[in-house]
Amino acid sequence: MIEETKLKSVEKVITKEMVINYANTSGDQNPIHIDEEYAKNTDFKGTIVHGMFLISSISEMLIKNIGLNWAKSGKLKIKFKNPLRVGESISTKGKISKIVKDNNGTLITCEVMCSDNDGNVLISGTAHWSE
Amino acid sequence: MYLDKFKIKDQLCEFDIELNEEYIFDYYNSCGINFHDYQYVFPTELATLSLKYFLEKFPIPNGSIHTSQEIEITTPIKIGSKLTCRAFLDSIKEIRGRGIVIVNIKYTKSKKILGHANATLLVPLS
Repeated sequence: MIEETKLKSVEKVITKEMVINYANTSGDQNPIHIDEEYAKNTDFKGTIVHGMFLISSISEMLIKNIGLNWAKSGKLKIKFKNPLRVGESISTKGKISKIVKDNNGTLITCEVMCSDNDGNVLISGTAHWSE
Repeated sequence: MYLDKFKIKDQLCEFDIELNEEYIFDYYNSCGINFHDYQYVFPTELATLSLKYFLEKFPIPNGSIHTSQEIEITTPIKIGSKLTCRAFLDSIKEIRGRGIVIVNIKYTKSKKILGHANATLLVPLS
């Protein structure tokens, strides 16, 4: 792994069925995610995907590119920038920005983000792990 | 306002979670993640399960927005582990007619801290 390395992206459509399954798994049954009628009358004008669901796509990218080091020492700091309407597609990006070696091993820093089909940034932040 | 009965640094609750294969399978499945190497728990699976238990005790009012999330695993956590979670009120402020609340969760096993998470929420004032 070297600085500026780009991670392989994760791309997917987040369907209504996935959001309902995620609501059941996570216990987050906020109607803004699952109730069309309720969500129509909010600022979002429709149901939006859970923020933690979007974070899972960043984790998926790190699982696929980094593997178990991500599980053993992962740190993730994410800010939510824009909502994603249910039924739309996402794409993740990751780029290694810093590598620091010391007596305890190597600490990797990676800038991460997830955007929608129009390029709007949904979430962005930083991931760290040790190797 | 959400959690305004508590003071900063108060412990909000304590609960146990089990990160078993069934939960991990459901999590991957619901997120559309095609990965089936059940050795260690990844940070987002940990935060999601603990938030589930936390939200059962302290449901977030409608109209709340999750604005940021931090998760860190400091010691590897094996699938099947049972952890104790302690949730604390890290910060509570009122800014421009909205509340900003930060909840910190510490993950421990046999009193050793294995990781932590911070969730920042924008909540209605009433």
